[in-house]
Amino acid sequence: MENTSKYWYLHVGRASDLSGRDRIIYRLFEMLPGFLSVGTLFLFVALSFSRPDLAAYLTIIFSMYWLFRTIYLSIHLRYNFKRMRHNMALDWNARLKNLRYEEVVHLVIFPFYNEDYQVVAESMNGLIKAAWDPKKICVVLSAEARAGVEQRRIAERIKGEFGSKFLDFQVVLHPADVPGEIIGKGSNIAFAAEEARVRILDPRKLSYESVLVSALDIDTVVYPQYFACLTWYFLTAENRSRSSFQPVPLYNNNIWTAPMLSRVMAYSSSFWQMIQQERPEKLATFSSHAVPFQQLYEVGYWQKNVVSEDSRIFWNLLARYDGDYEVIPMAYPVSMDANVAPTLLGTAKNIYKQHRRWTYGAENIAYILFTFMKNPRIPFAKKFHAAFVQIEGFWSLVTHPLVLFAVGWLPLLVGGRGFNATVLSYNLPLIAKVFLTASLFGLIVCAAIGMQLVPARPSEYGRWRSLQLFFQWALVPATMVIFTSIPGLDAQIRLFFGRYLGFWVTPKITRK
Amino acid sequence: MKPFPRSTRRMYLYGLILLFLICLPVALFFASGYNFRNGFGFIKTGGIFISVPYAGADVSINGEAVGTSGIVKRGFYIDNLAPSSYEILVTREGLRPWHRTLVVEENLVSDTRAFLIPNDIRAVLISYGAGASTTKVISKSEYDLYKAAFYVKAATSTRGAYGESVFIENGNVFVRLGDESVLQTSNFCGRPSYCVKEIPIENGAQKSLEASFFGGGVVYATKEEGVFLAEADIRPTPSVSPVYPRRGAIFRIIDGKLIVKNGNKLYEIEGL
Repeated sequence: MENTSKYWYLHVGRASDLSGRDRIIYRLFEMLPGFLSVGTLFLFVALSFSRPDLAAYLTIIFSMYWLFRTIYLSIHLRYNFKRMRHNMALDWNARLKNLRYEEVVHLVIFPFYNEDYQVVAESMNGLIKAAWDPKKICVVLSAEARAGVEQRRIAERIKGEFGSKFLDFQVVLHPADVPGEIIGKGSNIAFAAEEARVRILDPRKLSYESVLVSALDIDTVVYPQYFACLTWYFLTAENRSRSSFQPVPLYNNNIWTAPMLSRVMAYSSSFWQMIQQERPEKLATFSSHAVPFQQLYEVGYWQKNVVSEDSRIFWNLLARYDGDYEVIPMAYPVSMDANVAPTLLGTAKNIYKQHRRWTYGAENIAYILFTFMKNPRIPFAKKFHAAFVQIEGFWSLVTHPLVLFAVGWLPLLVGGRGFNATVLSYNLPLIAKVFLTASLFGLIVCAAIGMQLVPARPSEYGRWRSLQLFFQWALVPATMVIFTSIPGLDAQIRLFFGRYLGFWVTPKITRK
Repeated sequence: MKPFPRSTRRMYLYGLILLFLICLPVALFFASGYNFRNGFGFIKTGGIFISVPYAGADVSINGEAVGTSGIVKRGFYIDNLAPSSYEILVTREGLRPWHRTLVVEENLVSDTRAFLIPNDIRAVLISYGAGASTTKVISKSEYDLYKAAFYVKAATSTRGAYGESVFIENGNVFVRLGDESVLQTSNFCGRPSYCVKEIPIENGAQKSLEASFFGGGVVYATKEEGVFLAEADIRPTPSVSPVYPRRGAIFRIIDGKLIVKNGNKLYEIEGL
């Protein structure tokens, strides 16, 4: 591995990994998102008591901003939907004809913890059925030693059934309790990538530059043209050695069996990623993604000591290549499992934990600011834009829904006679309602697109189930507060107080 | 298909920002009560909010119909009113018409709650054991309970729903705000910007003996003329309605019922 001493800070996980002044600075950066979010909400509450008129004006401004933001994002969502449909209909292999695609080898890493055989087998079947020569695909199934013997048996069974179909298939066992690692996907796939280098790439003398690594969640089922599409983007990238590739995560595997709450959250996540696909300057890698092996190797693989390794790898690469790194949106989907537990309450709990983990991506803010501080070679404009996008993103994620659907109405309750007698206090709900109602058109866009993204309705479900897919979007105002804002705030408060979150594996139950 | 062109995205972004910047001051001005009138430019307006406790009541302002209350719609907000006095009338079959004069001021809302008193208020004689068909028959123990309530002297003050209290002083009845922390309701405000701490309910030549909050208003008994129900509102003209207008009658509120005692007889007031 390349000596990265010039970039000694690349794998900093948290303030406690540092010492002296750096530690204090990093700690302050960790506190920043929580400080901004809690500070905003506190300011709102304080204003509601002391200057309810100002708080009411802010609520109106927020609700109006929300409407315009919804319009802007809906335009992007619709565009990406059209582009994704277009891309799904294309024959990407035909597009590769004039490119030197034969030299590209795909390395697919599946981290594996306690999922059922069926979940893993379906993912493997997805690879086999893809319109890509499996003999150009290497697979690493990276089991966790802590998961026990049964999981190892499943891994070996999978290897027995599918191994011979690929160029190479390795089952690796990520050891438990390695110093410096936290339990989670990052440590698992980083281990798997190095094992792949030693066991597959080097023995087969595969050039690191021509190996493209897809780090897929274990429940990821690729669509038929995934590899061809990925290869095309890789080969046509302006600078392929400075690019990661991001498919659209759809949660279609179990969407018909998932409860309404789970479906709404799943599609909300997908739609956000679709919007980001059309705003590549704001895009970081998320969940299942692809990275050239050479760059992965040079950066020292995914971080083993963070929760959000999927997005962190992009920031690692951005810092490592002095700001010269980007994510190329593929506008092509991969399918995963919507978050489902045996009971509705269990599903709600799992969704909360999953979204807390995702929104714990705010841990990247400290990392970004710290690496930007340490790396003078990154252009200032790039630093400013990236930092602003991340800080504003995590701030608005937490504060906007809470302001619009909860705290923003506080002046009406605590404003007192002086405020309650004003025209403003009467007009606040009327005007905010107009803007928020108008924003509902965004939900109609979501519902319309969602209806077209779901797989064909299984015969056991009637039309009522399809109608539910449309009307489920009425849940969004509540889900935004309960499953986005509150877990986001929870995550940021944990970061603020240094009560760091560990990785929580989303349980995947057997699909029927 | 190419990614969303940056130039198109910018066009949408700048267009929406421009629209936002145009709409924002309009929304904020409107929210504050500013309105545009031809020939006058931007003027400061106020509003009126009337809540009606029953469905089917017709509401009008200065003789112009505003609407009829329904099962769900019980409130009427009329905005963009020029500062002035407005006459409110709420009518409903079976209830006495309710009038109110409200002063509208710039950027402020005058709110009021229609105090609707039924036309038909009946005093039903209470007895125990057997009685005539016009008599309300209750058990002996309940009757004794009612009687016993009159042996206890009525309190000189009672507290209302918002922390205000009704007092009797020198034979007159007042409703007063207790302390500064109590939320001041609009019935204490002659105009939205000017509020008082005391509302006279009965402040005339008669001598009031007892008073209490009841049925959204104040029920009081005078030595000379009996029991009345009055609205507690500083604004003209609060409703007052005789409930049992007989000299010497006194009352108690027992289990949410208004019981009147005249001599040795007990009456339950129905219809309120």
